[in-house]
Amino acid sequence: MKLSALKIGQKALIMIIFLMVVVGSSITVGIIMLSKTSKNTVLASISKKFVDIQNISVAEFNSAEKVARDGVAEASGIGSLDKISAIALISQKDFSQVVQNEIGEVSNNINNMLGKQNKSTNQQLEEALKLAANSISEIMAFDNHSLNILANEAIFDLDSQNTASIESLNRFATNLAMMKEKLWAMENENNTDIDSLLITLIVNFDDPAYSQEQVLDFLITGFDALKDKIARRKEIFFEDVLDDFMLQEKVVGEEFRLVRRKAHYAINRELTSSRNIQLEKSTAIIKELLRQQSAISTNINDSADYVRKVIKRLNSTIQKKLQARGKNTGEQISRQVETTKEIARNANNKVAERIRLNTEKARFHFDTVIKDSQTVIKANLNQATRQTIFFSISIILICTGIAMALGMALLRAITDPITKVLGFAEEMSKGNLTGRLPEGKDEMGQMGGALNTMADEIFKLREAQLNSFNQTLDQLLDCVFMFDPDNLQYTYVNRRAREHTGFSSEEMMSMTTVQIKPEYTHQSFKKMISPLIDGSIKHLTYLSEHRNKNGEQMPVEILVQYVVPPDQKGKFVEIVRDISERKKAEQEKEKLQARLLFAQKMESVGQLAAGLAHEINTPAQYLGSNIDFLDEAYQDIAEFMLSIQSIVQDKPLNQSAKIVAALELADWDYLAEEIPSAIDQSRDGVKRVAAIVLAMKKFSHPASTEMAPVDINSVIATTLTVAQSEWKDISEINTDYSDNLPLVPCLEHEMGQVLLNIIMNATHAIREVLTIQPSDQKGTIHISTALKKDRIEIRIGDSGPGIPEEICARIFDPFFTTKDVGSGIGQGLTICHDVITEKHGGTLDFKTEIGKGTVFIITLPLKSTNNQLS
Amino acid sequence: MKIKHLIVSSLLFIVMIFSSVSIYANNTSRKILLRIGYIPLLPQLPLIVANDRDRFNYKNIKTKLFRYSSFTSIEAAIRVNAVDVASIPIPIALSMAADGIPIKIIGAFQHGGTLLVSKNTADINTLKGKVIGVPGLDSNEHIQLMETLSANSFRYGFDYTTIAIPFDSALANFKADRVNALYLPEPYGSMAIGEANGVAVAVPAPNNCQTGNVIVVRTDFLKTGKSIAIDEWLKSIIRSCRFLENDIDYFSARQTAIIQKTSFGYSEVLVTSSLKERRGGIRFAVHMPTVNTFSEYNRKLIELKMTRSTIDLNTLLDVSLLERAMKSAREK
Repeated sequence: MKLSALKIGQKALIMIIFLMVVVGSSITVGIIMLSKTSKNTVLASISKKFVDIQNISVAEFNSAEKVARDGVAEASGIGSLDKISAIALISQKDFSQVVQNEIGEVSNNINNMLGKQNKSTNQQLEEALKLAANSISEIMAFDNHSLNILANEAIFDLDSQNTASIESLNRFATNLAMMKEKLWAMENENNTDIDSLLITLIVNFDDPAYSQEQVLDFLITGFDALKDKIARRKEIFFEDVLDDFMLQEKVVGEEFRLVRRKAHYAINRELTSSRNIQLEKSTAIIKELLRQQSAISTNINDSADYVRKVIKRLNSTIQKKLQARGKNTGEQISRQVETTKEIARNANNKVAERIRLNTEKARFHFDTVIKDSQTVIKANLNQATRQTIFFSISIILICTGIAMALGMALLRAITDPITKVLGFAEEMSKGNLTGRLPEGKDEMGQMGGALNTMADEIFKLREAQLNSFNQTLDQLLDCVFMFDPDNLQYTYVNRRAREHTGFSSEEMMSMTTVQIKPEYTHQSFKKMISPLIDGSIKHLTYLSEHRNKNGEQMPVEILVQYVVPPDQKGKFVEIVRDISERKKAEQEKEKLQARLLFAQKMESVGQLAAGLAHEINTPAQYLGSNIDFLDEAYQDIAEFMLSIQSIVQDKPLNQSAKIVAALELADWDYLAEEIPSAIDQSRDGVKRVAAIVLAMKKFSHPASTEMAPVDINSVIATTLTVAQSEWKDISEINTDYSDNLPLVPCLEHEMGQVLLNIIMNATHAIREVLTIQPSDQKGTIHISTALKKDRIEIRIGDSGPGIPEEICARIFDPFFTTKDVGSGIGQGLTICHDVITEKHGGTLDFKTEIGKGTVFIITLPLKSTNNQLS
Repeated sequence: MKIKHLIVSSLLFIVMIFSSVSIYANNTSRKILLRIGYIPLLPQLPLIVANDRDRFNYKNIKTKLFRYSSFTSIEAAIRVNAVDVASIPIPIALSMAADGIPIKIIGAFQHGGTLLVSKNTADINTLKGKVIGVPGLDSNEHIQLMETLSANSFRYGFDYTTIAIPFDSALANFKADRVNALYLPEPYGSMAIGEANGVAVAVPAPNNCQTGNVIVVRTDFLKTGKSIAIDEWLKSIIRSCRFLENDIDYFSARQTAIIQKTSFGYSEVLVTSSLKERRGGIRFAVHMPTVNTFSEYNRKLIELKMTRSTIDLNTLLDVSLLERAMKSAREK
């Protein structure tokens, strides 16, 4: 039967019986043991005391014999005489030792002092020598340094003067060039004046109103005035020249003067500085040498003084010490003689007294031993009694202790189950349901069983609640992470978090939060979240990136909060939202805004072009009508002139001469030949202007938002006209339009824009080739259209350099351009691609070959879909 | 009738063109010539940029730039009245005033732009015992360097020596170890770093003597009623400072690098790298120096025995023109 199976009453009864048995046994054993021990102790004590009496008797007899022998020796005085001779010997040795010591000490001191003196003086002399040598080297080095600087200053001054000279020569050269221009201008003015005078002279010469004398006077006056004018001009010119040269000369002179002045200052400064430094250094050296000399002199004087003092002190010390020692020895001998007499007197008395005393002492010792023996026997008996009592009490105490221990054990057997039950109940109240109580058949075991059942039930209930909470969190679209504030290790992640990272729950529990945040280190992350722990902020929202199991990085928005559940350690809770889609949307929005901006810009350019076209159109129209008028007028004049010529032929020669002369003066034959072609050329020119204006108007017409059937060949022709200024100087256009091309449903304005972009790109490509390899031959742009089943195809090819393979995949990317900054914004082909594929449901592709060129191929469906229309 | 009408219209048109041309010619002839001296140094960029950007728009002035290779040559030009206006170091301006040259200091338009470059080390303490090249002993750089090194317990002559070095041969002399360090305006510091293994040394700014070069105008130019021309030119300088700051901040000084090519002739890479990193702490902003600043410089010059005469600083300094130009610029 186990102890736990017993009732409490049964347990108490067993304890009492056990105690009684233990106490009884112990008392009996103690009494038996004490009786034996007491008897043995008494016997041992008596034996020991008898041995002591025997020993004392022998010692006392030996002592009496020794006293008698010492008394005889002391009475004879032999010992005292020995002592006196010993004192004399010691004193003699002492005198000699004192003298030796004193002299030795003084000699050592002087030796030491002189050695130190020698060393110190040598050292000081060496230092002074070294200092002097170093300082001289330093001064020499400084001199070299200073000389170098002076030399460099001289070189730099020469450089400066050289530069100044070259510069002034350049300025003179510039002045000369200007003078040359002025001379040319002066010569032109002079020539103009001479021409003017000659023309006036010729006119006056032919004029009958002027006589020959008057003309001659005019000529002389004119020439005089001209000479004066030319002389004045020359004077002004030379004054200017002189001023310029003088100014330049002044600049050069002043510059050289300043350079010299500054060079003098620099050299003086260097020399002064060098002199001051040398002076300062020399002064320092001399000061140091003087200091060293003074120190050596002081040291020697100090040594001499010391030696003198030591010898003097030695004289007095030896004398005093010898006198003191002599006196001391005499006194010692006198004292010893007196002592010897006294000893001899006392010896007889002492021997007799000691024998008496020893006898008394022996008797006393015998009495004492006997008394001691009696005392010992008594004490042993008393001790035996005490031991008996002590052992009895000890055994009783031990038995009581054992009984108490057993009692305590028994009590614990009763109270422990109760304590366990209380602890279990307390843990349960804190929510800890992991512990269980031992179960059994006694009251406590039964209570344990009942409480265990209750804990199981509560645990099941809590598990059910926790599962419900986790399932709720698992249904969230956001990721929820919880991690420990100390080691940042995850303690909980919801389902969305596991999907987001690609790690399993078990894997996540062994990871820290910084392992999926590549931007942060352990320290930097802890530093960031520390304000949450100290409560300075309640929560923190920030943008970051998470790295999943595959190593992919995703932009995320994170809300992190520090929460402290009741009676638990605090933890961090992160609500993480994947913002990849949002980022994409923002980027799309930015692209759209850029495109919108571009479209607005193009629209304003279009409006401007339309306005310009309107402004040009009006004068072009009246130019055209005026040219028509001039053409008609010329026809009339030509007929009129023919009539005159026929009249001239019919008239007599003297009458027709003036008319023939007038016709010849007017150069009518030449005009009759050239005017028609000039009018035709003007008309062609105006027609071309009108065609360009019309094309521009058409091209810049506000875009329609609805598709309409369009003649693509016509759109291409209009676009070519608009872009004529771009291609006509560098390229030939070859067109191959299909005759049976049907009307295609499309947005005409936007299609024109696409064609313009591609043609412009083609001209830019050709220009690039011609820039690198200049040639007399133009490049080629080939444009063709064709019907392909339910689609039409437009091909635009150029003889440009082709597109490098590495950028082929990027040419439709927004903002991608190979042009220089400011020449292109990288939107053209993006917009073309968008217009053709998105708005028209067509395709835009290209073929390219390096060194040969590129062909862009556009296909457009003949039937538009609802989507495209919308 | 139509032909007659066309002929009359054409004649009227020709008369109008001739009138315009003569008005323009008259206006041109009335413009005042302003001769500007400059040295090809980046701190002097506002002079060049203002001329490049505004010269066709000036109403009252016609500017002409004169290039000089050193502060001494530009000083000589001012002294003999070969240029009317220039940007020069304060000690030179004070020296000219002490010699009785009729000039006025009317302001300043730049801070910093000077780099201390040594060989292989950026520690100022390693300059002990070295020879440092400066643009001139009467340059701002020299005075500022002495102040700075003195604050670092360097004694002139004992711990270091300065030497005036021409800009043209500075780099060659640095390479040839004739000087151990250079303290020159940009781009010479950048050139020493790029071409001669130079290392920029961090120089703490001295407490005094911080102002850069100052704009100096000959008084006789102002006296002849030409202040309106200076006023227009100063507005142009203020605009150019803004342009430079914007270009550095937003375009890495690319436009400035192109503009300077004709007047300075430095490579674009050198200029952009120097300006965008603001080497030597270069800043382009108009500011008014005070009499106290000049007093401090004057005290240093007397201490260095570079001048003995007393100067009436209140008469020498006249920032009223610049204040007026700035006020006008702010109002616009």
